[in-house]
Amino acid sequence: MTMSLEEESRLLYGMLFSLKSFSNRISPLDVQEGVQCYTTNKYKMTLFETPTSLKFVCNTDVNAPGVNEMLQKLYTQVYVEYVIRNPECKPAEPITSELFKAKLDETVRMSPAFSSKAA
Amino acid sequence: MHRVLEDPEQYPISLKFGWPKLSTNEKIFLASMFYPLFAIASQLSPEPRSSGIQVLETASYQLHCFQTLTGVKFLAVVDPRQTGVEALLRRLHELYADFALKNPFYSLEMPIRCELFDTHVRSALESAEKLGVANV
Repeated sequence: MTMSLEEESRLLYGMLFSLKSFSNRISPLDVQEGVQCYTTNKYKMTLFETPTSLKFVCNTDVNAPGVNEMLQKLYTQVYVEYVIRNPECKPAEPITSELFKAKLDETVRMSPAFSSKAA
Repeated sequence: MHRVLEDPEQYPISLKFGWPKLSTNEKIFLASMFYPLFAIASQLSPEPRSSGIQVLETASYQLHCFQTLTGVKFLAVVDPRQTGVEALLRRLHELYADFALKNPFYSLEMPIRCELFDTHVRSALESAEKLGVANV
């Protein structure tokens, strides 16, 4: 299946948006907590949303462990450190920082989800 | 409510607490919201030929979806600790085939209004509930 990155991100954003309103409507409880992940027979999508509704999404293998923790770590230790504290990175613009890219790569490689796939 | 509880003649009593039931229209509305999500999830897959959403998890509940070969979807909203939901949905499919499809008065695509189906669904849910906590 071929889809450009832009097309895919648009589709994903639209989907997450409607997923959120759907899950709030169908929720049997009053407390409305966002979607954490969904699973299909081929992959698992994990979503981590910050209180400022910044969304971190990762598609993994169905059985990949600790993806949510990894996304939280990406936010607190990579995004905040290397994007928020970087005066060169403007909000609402694509991140071009090479240091961010390197740290992102390192964190993902260190996570249990990455190593379990290689095993 | 209190009057019922205070009246000794009412006992033994069995109480069930739950969310107010959704109307049929609301259910159809939610189902029509789920349908595109299901389709997009299979399109967004990094691997080809993925199914749609099977389990949707949030912190407070899980939504399980079982799609039959003919494309009918069975959905269950359950507590995250509930087990055996897959089996429950398969059982519901069986009941649907037995009591709705084999019923000559049932017309396809319409809400199922059949007492026999309802009682069997209820007993299936109750037996699933004994194994864990279920809520549909």
